[in-house]
Amino acid sequence: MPRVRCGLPNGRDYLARIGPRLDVQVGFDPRFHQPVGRPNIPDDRRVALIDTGASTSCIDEDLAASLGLPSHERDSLTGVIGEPYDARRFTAHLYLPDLAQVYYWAFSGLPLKGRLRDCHLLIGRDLLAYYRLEYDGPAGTVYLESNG
Amino acid sequence: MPGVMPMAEVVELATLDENIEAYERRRDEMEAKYRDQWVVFVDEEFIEAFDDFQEAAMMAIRRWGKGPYLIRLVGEEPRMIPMSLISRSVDAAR
Repeated sequence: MPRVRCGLPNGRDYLARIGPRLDVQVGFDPRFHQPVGRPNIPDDRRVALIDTGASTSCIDEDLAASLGLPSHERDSLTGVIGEPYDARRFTAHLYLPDLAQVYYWAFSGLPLKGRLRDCHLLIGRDLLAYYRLEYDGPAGTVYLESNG
Repeated sequence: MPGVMPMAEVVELATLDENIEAYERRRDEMEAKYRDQWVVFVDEEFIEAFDDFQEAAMMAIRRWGKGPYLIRLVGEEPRMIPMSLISRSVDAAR
């Protein structure tokens, strides 16, 4: 089964402080509409924070604009406490290069830049629903594994 | 005029907000028929319902490229993001 380590091999403290991260490629290819393969999107690897506390995946809104992602929905997001935040939801091709898997994905646009260290995206439980996540705190390792 | 070709007619599709308004006009019907499914609206018309977002997006991209189109999960509850992001976003807006 395809499996990828999420983060650098720096151990327990690093994982606790920084969190599990995954390299992704993101963009929008209007000519790509099949279930497998790789869309024609930028090769740049972006760092995504894996966040089991988020029900939805998010992208920095400036990055979404620079990639020309189309918006297909308005969004109202809420935290455990706090005011709802109005955002736009974007359609994107999401490619996981270490697993060679492609998704048509919906990302909520938020001002993430500078708030999650160098991460421009946040992977929530909507994408994790397709994976098995193995978090080993003492060893400082996280693995993401898919069924196919 | 001889030698002058007529310009191709440019058809402008309804905007995302217009598609959202079209959905709202048919909200009761959508929730009765398609709850927990993803529906696609283009040019203020309901097109089709799908079991997951990926199928809906694949169809929308194949037929309309970048759109505009609305892809909505019928009956969706407000979605949760981490509190830290919410509070920082609110602070940043001040």
